[in-house]
Amino acid sequence: MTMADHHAGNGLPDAGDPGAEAALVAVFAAARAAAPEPSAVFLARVLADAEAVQAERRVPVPSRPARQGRWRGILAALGGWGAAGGLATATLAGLWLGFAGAQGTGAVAGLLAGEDEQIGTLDLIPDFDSFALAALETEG
Amino acid sequence: MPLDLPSDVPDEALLVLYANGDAGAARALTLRLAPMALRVAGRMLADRSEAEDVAQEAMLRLWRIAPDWRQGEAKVSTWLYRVVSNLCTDRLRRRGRSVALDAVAEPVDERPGAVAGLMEADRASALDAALAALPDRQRQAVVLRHLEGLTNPEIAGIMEIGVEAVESLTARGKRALVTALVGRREELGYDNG
Repeated sequence: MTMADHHAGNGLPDAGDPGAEAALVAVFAAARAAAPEPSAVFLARVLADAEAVQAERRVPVPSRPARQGRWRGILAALGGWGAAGGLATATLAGLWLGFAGAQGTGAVAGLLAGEDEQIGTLDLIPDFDSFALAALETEG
Repeated sequence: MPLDLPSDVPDEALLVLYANGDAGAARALTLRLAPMALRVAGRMLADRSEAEDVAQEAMLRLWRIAPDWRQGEAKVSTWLYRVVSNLCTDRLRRRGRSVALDAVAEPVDERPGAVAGLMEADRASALDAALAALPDRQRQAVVLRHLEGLTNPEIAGIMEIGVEAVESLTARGKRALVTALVGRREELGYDNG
């Protein structure tokens, strides 16, 4: 049913017409069909806003770069914290051995053996001489 | 303005893409939602220029909220309808109801023959004028229900009122429209023609 059915083709509802509700529905349909299209200028304005907001978010935020100092490079070259830990242990052990050697192994023996006269020396590198001799013999 | 994203991608997904910097999503959302915002604002304000400003402002708010959009809480379109409606309500309050009515009541064209033109005016323009004379809340409910095709619960969410209140507003609005359109018919001399 169209508006024309209600009032001589003028398309407007008659208040006294029991079909006014249906007539109004037809008016709504006509208005939906005639909804104005947005202009290209308006759409361009909206899109420009969208792109501007996106661009604002793309501005690089100054952030602290990951620390890449000299020691971190050295650590990486050594193979990481595990390797560095092993190296440190070995270094300390070498230092200790150096000092202990300078004072003579007897001091160590004294620490370990106390007053026990039966342990006169402590060989920290047992069979060192045997290995050295074997090497010399091989070369010879 | 090319659209390079499929039309079946939901608004929410497009908004996520947009927030991630996707230019195609910005275009797709603009083409999908800006006309809707403009339509509603145009019906509410009866002023094309103001309606464009409101629609642009509503879309700008959408762009800004995109990164914080919480999926599943609300439809993007529903959110946008609410923002547009609120912006329109603010504008109507600011400019004053009397000013709005005066603006709508002015003759469209005073040139000779303009009356004849009005007599041939289509139903859509007659409805626009009748809508503009409705109280704001009735107009908003009628526009959302009968021109945008939303359900009463959706409108209730947008207007932040109960469903029964929506039904009441649309019923009163429609009665007022019928009366206004009848009055317009007589004013324009249809009965004499």
